[in-house]
Amino acid sequence: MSFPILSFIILCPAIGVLLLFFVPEGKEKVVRGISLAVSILAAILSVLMYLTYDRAAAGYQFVEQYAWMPGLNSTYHVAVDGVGATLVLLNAIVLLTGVITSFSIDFRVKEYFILFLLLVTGVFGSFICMDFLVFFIFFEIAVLPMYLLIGIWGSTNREYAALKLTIMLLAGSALVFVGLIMTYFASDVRSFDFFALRDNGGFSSSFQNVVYPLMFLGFGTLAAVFPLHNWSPDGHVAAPTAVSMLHAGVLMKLGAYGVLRYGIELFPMGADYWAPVAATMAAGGVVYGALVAAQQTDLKYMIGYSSVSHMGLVMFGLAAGTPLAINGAVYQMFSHGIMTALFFSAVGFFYEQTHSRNINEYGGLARKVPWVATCFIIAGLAGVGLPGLAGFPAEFMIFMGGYERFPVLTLIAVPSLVFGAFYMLRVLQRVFFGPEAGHTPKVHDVGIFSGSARVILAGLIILFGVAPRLLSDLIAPYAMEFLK
Amino acid sequence: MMLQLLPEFVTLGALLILFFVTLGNNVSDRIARWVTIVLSAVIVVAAIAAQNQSGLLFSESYKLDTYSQFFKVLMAVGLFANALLGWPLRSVPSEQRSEYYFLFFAAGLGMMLLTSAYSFLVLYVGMELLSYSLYTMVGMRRARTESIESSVKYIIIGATASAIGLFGVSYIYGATGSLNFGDMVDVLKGSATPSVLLMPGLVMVLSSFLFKLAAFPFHAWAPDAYETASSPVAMFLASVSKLAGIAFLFRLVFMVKPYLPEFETVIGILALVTMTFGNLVAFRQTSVKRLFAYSSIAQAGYLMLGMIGFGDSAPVAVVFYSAIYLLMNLVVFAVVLELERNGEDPKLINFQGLYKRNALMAMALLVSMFSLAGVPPLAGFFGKWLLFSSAAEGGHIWFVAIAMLNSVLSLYYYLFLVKAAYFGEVPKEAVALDKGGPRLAILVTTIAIALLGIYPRVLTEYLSGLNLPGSLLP
Repeated sequence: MSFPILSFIILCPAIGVLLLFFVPEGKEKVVRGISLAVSILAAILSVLMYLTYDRAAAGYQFVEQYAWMPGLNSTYHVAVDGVGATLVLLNAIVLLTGVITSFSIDFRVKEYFILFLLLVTGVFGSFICMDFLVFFIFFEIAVLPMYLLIGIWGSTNREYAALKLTIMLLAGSALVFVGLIMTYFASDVRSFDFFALRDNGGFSSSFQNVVYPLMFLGFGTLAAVFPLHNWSPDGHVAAPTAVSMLHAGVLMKLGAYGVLRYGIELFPMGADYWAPVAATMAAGGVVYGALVAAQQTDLKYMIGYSSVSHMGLVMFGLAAGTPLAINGAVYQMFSHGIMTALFFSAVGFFYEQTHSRNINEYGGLARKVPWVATCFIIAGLAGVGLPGLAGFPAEFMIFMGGYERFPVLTLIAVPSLVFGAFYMLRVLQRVFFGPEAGHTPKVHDVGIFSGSARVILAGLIILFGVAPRLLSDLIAPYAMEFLK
Repeated sequence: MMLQLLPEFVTLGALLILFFVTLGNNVSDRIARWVTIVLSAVIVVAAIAAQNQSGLLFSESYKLDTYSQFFKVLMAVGLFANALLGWPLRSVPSEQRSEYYFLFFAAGLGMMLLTSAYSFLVLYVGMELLSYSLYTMVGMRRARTESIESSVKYIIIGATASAIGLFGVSYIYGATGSLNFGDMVDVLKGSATPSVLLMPGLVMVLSSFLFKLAAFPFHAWAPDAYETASSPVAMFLASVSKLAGIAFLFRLVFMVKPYLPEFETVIGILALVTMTFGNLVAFRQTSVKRLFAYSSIAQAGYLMLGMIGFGDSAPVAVVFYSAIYLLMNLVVFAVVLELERNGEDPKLINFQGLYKRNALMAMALLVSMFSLAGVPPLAGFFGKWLLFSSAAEGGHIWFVAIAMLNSVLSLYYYLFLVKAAYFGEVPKEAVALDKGGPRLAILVTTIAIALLGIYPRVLTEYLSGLNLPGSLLP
């Protein structure tokens, strides 16, 4: 058997968690060192996995399978296809840059990194495991540490935000859990294995019509699908910088991934039946998120709501279900993940120095901190879908694909992009250009190390914008399956 | 027969030893406690030794099977843990403390009788033995009138429940002509339309057990008893004593369920009402012991839902959940006891900043709270999965959906404690926590909760190997 690369990717942060438990109190440098080491290792392995994934063969690769609960036909079964590989890569990138950004955490450092790495372990596990039950367990591991991470290290209104987030997400999980039980008992195979369920599940169309909404709403809560998005902006705002990065960058994608894998793929007829409703909700999110974002003066709230809008696009692509739209949706998951991570990293940088995120309290930052400003502007322009940056190919494909199935909804959603471009440019202009104002004099550049996180992310936005084939090669074969 | 009934005999022996040891009234509480710990360790050994015993004894009124023997092991472990953790009994007058240990074994014996009861008479004897011990234990904190009050309340509700139960037994006797479970099932099997007396009789017996489980509508004694009793007693009530009710009720339900589908629906609805009630009321509690009283009411609801599950999977589910229920509540009350060293009732506010006072306690609390809420990857998740999937397999998917909703609701108040422990500031009047205390026991139990969630196979495969469904059927 070849090198079990996927298990090692999960193990990197997991071993980090275990090691950190044994670091004595007060050795904060060791804690940070270990966290950085395991995240670099995870990133290297993920990049290797991305590079060695056989694009010509496509399909599921790097398969490993071991018995876990034989009585239930549940196994530890890991594999990635193009979608999984893309998202694992995304998670590794956000993990690495998040850990770098987290170096500024200065109290309860050890626990912070334990929870942070635990969360990432959960995310890796969810993207990699192809067994519904094991997936669900990792999924919860990815959601729960958020409660403590926000509640202890957060800012504005943190206890309220943490509680709201946890309860809403757990309510979503409860729906998935009910769906999970129903799926298990309704299937012909009595197994949790994704492939067994997908190929030989034998779900009747009436059953699919009942279960699919559970999956869509359950996972959709995590993907912040309108109107279940309510926890998300509050959560983003309250969370510490790196947690916002992970949260908006990866966790929300996990929700969309759940809808795609355990909703649409397992229950294609149900997905088709409910597609108009799902698409309407998604398009509602696109418009609503954009409109509300434009009202915000708090930078984090603005990004939080624009994330709702962008995730609405992802869900719209998934609901449309044409190969092009699916392709675009997955691409959007990746590009939005990198983009918001960069946004939050930059906003966190300002907030740490001035304790303000108010748009009106800044001005002329571009001259003061050119590097950070450039990175933020790149993220902003990618967000509005400027060609040449990673956001453009994604949104283009979603709208092209979406128009085939839902022309009216697409036409409603597109103008919100124009609107988004308008407010984004206004924010960029106010915060970065013009005369120095407000808190700007207090802001100063910090070392290369913490800046490296933003440079990596900005570089990737440009890279995947200029060469979309780097990703679409992986995703397209998967999306073509939807022609059937 | 000596070996078959080894756990019962050893418990009886322990009871007598304690009786004579404490007779003089001049034995120190410390000695009585150590005698109890040693004796309960012997009971654990005896229960494990008698694990493979089976048979129908005493004119088919006492049944030993893998189910009852496994529950006896659980109870023995629970007794041992209670003896170890349930100390000091500060709020009980010192001259009475050794009596507590006597009652402790008396209750233990009653619980064991209940797991094996195969006739309504044995059932009654076991239940009264357990109940009378508990009534006294609850009322031992004589300095507080509330303790007496809740003890009286407990006795009145308990006596009423017993009376209802006995009345129900008379109906069942009328319908089947026997007090024996085996005969009752034979009658059920033989006739297409069982006597009209049978169903009311069963429901009445069920009611008396709902009292033991503190299930709706017979729950009213529990919150007061938990709150006002000395904490070790509350721990006893919440952990082991509940196992007895579960063990017996499930045996009865499992035997009659195939013939009386209505009975199944009755239990299902009661399960839902119980869990919803427990969870909703728990929200508003500020006393931690009271909160856990309601939490354990809700937990009883989940267990009852599992009882009406599919025949082949329900026994494993119920037994598995009973085992982890025991572990979770032991951890919770061990933490409560540690915080209660100054003799005051723990309020939510005393949990503030627990993290800074003792990281292990806070961690143990976090793990057991998430586990009680049924969150993966902890044992509570897997336990709920077994219960709920079994109920779903039995065709009760709607019940399961409501139960899931309950699970989410419960998270809210469990998180309250986590929030206090991790986010709060240490209150000024907080007492220092000793360096000693049962740290190791708490740590081991907490790790067990985590491990049983990640690798539940250890227990589930063992339980499947016991062939519980086969052993439960007559």
